[in-house]
Amino acid sequence: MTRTDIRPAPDSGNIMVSRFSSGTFLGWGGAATLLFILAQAAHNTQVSPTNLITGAGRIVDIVGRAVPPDWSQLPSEWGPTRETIDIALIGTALGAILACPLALLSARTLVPNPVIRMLARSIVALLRAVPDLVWALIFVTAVGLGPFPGVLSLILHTAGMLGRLGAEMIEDMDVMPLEAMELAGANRLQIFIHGILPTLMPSMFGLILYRLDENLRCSLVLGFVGAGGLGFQLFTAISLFQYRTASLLLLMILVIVLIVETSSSAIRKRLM
Amino acid sequence: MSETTDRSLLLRGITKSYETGAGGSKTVLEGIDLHIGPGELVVLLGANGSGKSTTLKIASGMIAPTAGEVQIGRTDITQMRGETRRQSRMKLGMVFQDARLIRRRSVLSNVLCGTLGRHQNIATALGFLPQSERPLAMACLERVGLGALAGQRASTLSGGQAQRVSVARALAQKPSVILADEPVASLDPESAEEVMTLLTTVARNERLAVLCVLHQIDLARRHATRLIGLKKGHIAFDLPASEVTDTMISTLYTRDAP
Ligand SMILES: Nc1ncnc2c1ncn2[C@@H]1O[C@H](COP(=O)(O)OP(=O)(O)OP(=O)(O)O)[C@@H](O)[C@H]1O
Ligand SMILES: [Mg+2]
Repeated sequence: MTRTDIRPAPDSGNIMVSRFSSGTFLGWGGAATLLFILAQAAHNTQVSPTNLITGAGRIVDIVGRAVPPDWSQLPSEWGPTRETIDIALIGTALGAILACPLALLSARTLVPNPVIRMLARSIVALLRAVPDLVWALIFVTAVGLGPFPGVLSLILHTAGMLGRLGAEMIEDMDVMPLEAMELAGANRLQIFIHGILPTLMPSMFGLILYRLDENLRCSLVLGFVGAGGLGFQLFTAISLFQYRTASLLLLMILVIVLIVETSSSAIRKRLM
Repeated sequence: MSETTDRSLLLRGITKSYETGAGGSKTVLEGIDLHIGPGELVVLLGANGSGKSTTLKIASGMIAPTAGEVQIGRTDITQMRGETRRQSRMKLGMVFQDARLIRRRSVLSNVLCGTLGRHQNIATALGFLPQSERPLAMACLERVGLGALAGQRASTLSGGQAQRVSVARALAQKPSVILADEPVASLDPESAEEVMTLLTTVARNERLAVLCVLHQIDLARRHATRLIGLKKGHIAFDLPASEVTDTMISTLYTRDAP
């Protein structure tokens, strides 16, 4: 009795057909459900073509009031420009330094102790999971308006990102040459300094440059919550309806982002 | 006298069992005795899984034997721990199937890395290589015929060149014994010949004891002073190369009926 149960039934062809049709039915059902979910999301977020069309007139109006950019403001924006770049630079540098011990301690190949490793990994995960904007809001509340809360939030976010990527890089590294050094009598510090660092340095440096690129954009957005730089200027200009100043700022931001992006990718290419 | 007796390797009564999980264990070496004197290049032959690599790992202190002892010169290294163990490691030069160089560093830096064990100080901890060893490192590179490539990145070397650099690195350790596990397995016949000739002359001229695992019988016959056959964790023969017959070798590689 049980044996016949295992054998395919003589009419297994029909079973296939019915299974296929039930699969199709599930497919349509799934599509309908997805459509319903998207429709309610659109409704909930007040996505509406009519509002966009009536709003279009006002957008044209704003653009009209934003041209030409107010070039007379250019000299007074140099300070905030440098501030934005400096926030990104110092945030990336200190974040990278903080990332080093975190990456080393969360690499399986270097730290056999699971407790230490899990602790380091949890810190990295926390730093990464909290968006930099949220860190900035927390620090603005704690230390007041200005570039410093922006720097602090970039440090933490950068440490989280680089800590994780760095740990992955260390774990992917070929350990055989390191083992050979150990067998030749080198101590652990020497293996790290003469074996691990020279191997990782170029790709680590590439990661940091990439992060600098990202952090520049982050530092612009951070200005919107009061953390200094061009972002803060842009926020102020829009709030005060100074659209010609705002368009100047947007142009400046575009230029800076392009310069940093092209130069960092050029350097990274040469490193690889 | 002591100079030469220091340069020997002695394995006495080595037995090795691996834990196989669930409380079981598998004996892969049983009662291995072997002695390699200064100036000798001894080749270890045997089928896959016969225990050759395990023998070399035990001789190098990489893994501990279940029983028996390993002596370099007159020092028993099996019971060593920590600092004394690290120092004893310098006396052993290792050559692997792959050269295991730090690919992003120069050829000379890689050779200098072999001297780090003698220079545990602040300078080397800060990333400087021991400059006082440069002449020795260059001499070692000349020794393997690659002095001209000193400044080149290790990643640019061919397999044969990389393997010769790894021999130079081992020589820079000023070792008493060199252990080589299939050092020519990934080299073409010509490079294989070069590396084996190098190891033979090093053994002869520097009066080192060299133990080498090979799968190429003809290379073994031509370069070894002595051949040791390993079968299922036991020594099948240990004879001067000229006294080993083809039958002895072919029985090493035939699986007998259970
Ligand atoms: N870490 C380990 N744990 C359990 N068993 C092992 C371990 N390492 C080796 N063995 C077993 O020990 C036996 C001998 O292995 P060994 O690597 O010494 O052989 P070999 O002679 O070097 O072979 P090959 O010619 O393939 O390199 C094999 O059966 C292998 O499966
Ligand atoms: Mg092996």
